[in-house]
Amino acid sequence: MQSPFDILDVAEDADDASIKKAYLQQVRAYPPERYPEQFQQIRAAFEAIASKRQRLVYQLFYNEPPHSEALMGHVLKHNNTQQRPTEAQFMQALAESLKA
Amino acid sequence: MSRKKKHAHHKVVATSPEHLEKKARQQLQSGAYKDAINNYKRLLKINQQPDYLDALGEAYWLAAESQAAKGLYKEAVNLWESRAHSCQQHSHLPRYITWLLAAGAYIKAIRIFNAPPVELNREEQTHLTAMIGAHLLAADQQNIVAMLDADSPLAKDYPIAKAALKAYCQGDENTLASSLKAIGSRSPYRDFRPVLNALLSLDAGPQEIEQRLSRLKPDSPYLALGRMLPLLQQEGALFIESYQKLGPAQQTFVATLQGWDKRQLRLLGDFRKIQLKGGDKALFDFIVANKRFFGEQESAYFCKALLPYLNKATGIFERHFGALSQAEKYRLEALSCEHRKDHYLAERSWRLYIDKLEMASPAEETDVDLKIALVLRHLNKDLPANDPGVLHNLETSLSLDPNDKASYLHLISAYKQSNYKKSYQSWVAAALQEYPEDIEILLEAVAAARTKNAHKKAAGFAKKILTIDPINAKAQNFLRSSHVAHARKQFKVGRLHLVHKELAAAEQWERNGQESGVLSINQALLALEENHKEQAKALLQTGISQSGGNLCAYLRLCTEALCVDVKPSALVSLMPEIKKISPNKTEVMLLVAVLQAYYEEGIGALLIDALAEISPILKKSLKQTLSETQWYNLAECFLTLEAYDLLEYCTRQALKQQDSKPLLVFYEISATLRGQQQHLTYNMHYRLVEAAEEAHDMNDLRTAARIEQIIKQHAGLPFADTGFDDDDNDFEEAENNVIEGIVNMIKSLSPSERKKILKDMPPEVKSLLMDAGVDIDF
Repeated sequence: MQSPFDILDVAEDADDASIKKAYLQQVRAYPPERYPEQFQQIRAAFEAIASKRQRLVYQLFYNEPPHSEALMGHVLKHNNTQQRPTEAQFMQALAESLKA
Repeated sequence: MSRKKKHAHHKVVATSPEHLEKKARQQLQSGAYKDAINNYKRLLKINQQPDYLDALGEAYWLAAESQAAKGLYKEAVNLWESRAHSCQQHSHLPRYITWLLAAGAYIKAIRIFNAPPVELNREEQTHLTAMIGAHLLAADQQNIVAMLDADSPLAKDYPIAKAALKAYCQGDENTLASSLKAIGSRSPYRDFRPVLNALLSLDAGPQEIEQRLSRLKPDSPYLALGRMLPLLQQEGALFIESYQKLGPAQQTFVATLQGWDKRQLRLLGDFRKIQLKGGDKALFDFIVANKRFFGEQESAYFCKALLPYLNKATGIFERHFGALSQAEKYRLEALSCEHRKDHYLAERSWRLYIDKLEMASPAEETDVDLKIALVLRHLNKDLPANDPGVLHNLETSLSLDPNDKASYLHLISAYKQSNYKKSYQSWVAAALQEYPEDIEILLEAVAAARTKNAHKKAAGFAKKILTIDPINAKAQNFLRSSHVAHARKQFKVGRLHLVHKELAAAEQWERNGQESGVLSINQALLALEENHKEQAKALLQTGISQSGGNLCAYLRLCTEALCVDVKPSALVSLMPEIKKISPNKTEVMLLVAVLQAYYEEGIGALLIDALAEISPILKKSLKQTLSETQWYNLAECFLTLEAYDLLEYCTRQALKQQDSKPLLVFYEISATLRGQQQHLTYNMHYRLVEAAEEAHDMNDLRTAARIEQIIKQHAGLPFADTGFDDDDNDFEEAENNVIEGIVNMIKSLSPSERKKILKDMPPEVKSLLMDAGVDIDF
């Protein structure tokens, strides 16, 4: 499972206001009527860390191994400049998806 | 039978057509298509039945489909062709052509598409044209395009689609726009348009992409490619999970769109290897080795989160990310113990963590009080709710952080159940001070005020609830019964005009259709007192009809009469038929609810007398068959009311219908003891010890604790020394284990920690250790 901080894409020391802002941003991107699963996950994450007390509870006692994909995803998603694939790459991807 | 004969017999059975047919059918149903094909072929050699031919065709088709599902398109093609050849069956031709394309047999696919052995309908033709177009785009083989009829849309639009693809890849937006415009709505390449448009709107967000892709039909050849695009909008773990499900070419496509450099790709490759290898240590080492790339802070956070799962990695962590505070080390140790389910050591580490927090300066630790309070509450999660340690932890936690409603409610409920009136009242007051507008707390305040007979105060709280929640049923009931209670007081001193007033006030809070009959019965009592016998009779009739069954009505009649010092017979004589009732199971169980409601009103003592009045009828109705839960509900109710005669009768009846269970033994012995634990006999003690053990085995910890409480309460009486061998006494052994645990824990501490813990040790623990012969100076 991803941590609520990862789901909302906020830092561990984020305050109430920035968590709420991040939550609303995510809800706008994943409205419940179109993305019910993602929305549920976002909502649960927000409820888990919305207040300072909840964040402390999470930080003190949460006892599950961290989600390594989250770290990788975070690193791979940031600070990149989007590029366009070459024709060959495009054609190979299309060929592979035609066989899927 | 000789081995040879046996073999011969087997051969006869195996080759008989009936047996072969049965076997082939079973193989077909169980997915053993190859075997089914072979057997149907053998059957056809024996007999050219059309049924066998159809079945063979079906077996070929199912085998082809199963191969295609595994991505083995050449095998699927061969099986379809064998079916066409052997059975002359050409159905599912579009699927065959699709498999040919997927297998790279473009020329054959186009040849069959141009001259199909069976006619293709328009829909099939459109779908296949689009499919061939997509394959042509993906394969880029001009010689195949040259095979097409030059006037066909497939050939005519191919250069346009190809130009759009090239323009997109080269970032030539003008050519791309004109090419996209040139792809008509009837073109076999029309579905390529929304995919390119979605790619162009990657920065516009997932909704925009979804909207563009929504134009693709479920059977579109571009659907799988299109589905990759929304994943580019995902974050973190979701993104990596989706990415790893893609094929290699699709991953390269996504990696390029993301703009990953070689280092990122190498990192991703290494990460995949770590995932395959598994293990938290490998992941820890991977993050440490790449911390420059992941970022110092992120890596430290991640590796620290892994520490509870690793042995002796703290040193490595500190070498790479700096020293951890002693408090943090204790916290991580506590989490590690919790992970290993070593609750004893976990608690020890949490306590040491608290000690360190208390000693830390504000620069070292923030929110110290709140953290300690949270740890104390956390420590309670594995302990029984009424454990004295739990209550002590909660009380301390509230002194540090008074803002926790759940802790107040826990303390209130525990002290209420244990009948510690002073603590109960003081925690209700504390909760009320912290949460003066909270309905749950106000309801507790009403209940607490009523147990003190402070009816005016209770009414004040109930009214406050109604200002916040005007339709709160509990508050309305409280107010109604509060006025009724006041009316009873006035009745007893003869102020009948005030009784009228109070009953009228109570009526205000009576909810339509949910009357309990209490008001009508009290009005009947008042009418009787004022010598209006007929009116009293009519009111009683109403009261009985509202009481939820005759048994409840009878109880209410008796209770309400006793509450105003009137003999129940005075009321019952007006309604003599109420004594002739035979209540059913539902009425008996409803009585439990009525008794509980009266008990909560604080008139428990009078209920014993009221129950004595209805006892003959009640006992008769307890001869019915009740469920285990129903017996327990009844017994618990009688035990709470201390109605021991009925409790004894109830458990006796239950034991006639049910097997003896620990809880029933508890009720049975409680009934015999009548609250006098000193009357516990050797035999009863023995049964209780056995029942406690059984309850533990059944994981019924509540019952076990209740039984053990009786045993503890009477400990020290003469038989306790004579009845049991010391080695068999689990409780003494458990106590010894606790003492030993405390001693070991103290011995493991540093001298300064030991000094501190001994200084803070409660006197009762010190005396327990000294009683056990432990030198507390160590």
